[in-house]
Amino acid sequence: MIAALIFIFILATLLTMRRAKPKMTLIFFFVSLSCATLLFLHHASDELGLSF
Amino acid sequence: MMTKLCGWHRVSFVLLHVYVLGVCGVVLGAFGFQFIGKELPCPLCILQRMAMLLAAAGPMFIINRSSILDSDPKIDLAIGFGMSILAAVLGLWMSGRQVLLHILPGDPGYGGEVLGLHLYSWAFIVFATILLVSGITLVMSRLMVIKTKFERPKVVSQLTFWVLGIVVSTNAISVFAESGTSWVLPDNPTEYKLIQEFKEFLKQRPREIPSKSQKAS
Repeated sequence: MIAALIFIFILATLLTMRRAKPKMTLIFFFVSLSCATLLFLHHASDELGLSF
Repeated sequence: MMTKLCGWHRVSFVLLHVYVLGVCGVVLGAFGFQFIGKELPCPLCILQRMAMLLAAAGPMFIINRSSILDSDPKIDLAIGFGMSILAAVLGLWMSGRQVLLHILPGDPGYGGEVLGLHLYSWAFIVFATILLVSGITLVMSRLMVIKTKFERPKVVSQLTFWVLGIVVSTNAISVFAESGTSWVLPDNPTEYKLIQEFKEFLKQRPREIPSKSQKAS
């Protein structure tokens, strides 16, 4: 469900591009990027927590 | 207000569309493996798709800003390719990790192959290309910046926007079907969990509702 939510954030990044100010686009972009990084770290961490 | 593109600006404008549609084509190719080849994507594959679509959001941003009158084209170019570079670095990290997971001799790798390379190896090449193209465009920004402003987005730009939007939406639905109601994706997916959960829900449902004869007794 988290992965689907990140895709929805990416969609929000696209939909806010039509606005005059790019602020919301950048906010959604960085939220998507941060969530994708955290999800990657979650999936890539092993049980010992030594590698990511 | 200018409405016609000329010289390098035209080339740059066309290349931005090719960039977005090219990335969409790569993600649609992965969809082909998923639906035609019946190969469910692993969590790392899904994450690489996210990074690709975020990288495509950069040039899409520049295309959209070309029809906003009070925007600065130089800043838009810098923001757009900055977005692409950040997403491509993340994608290189993800695909690089997956390549390293299967690098030992004798390891069959994960999933099918295209021209002898697995999809994550192709993803690594795509992200490296995105970084290269973004870097070259920023170095040549004097030529590549789109100074022309359009009264409204061009038909081809709108079409590109919708293609990217549909690809992102379809991925969201597909991933939701794969993960079901659990928070994270399974490590080695073998089925669409949402469909299985729905089938189990339908099986359990009649047992929970007492029949008329049970109620009477």
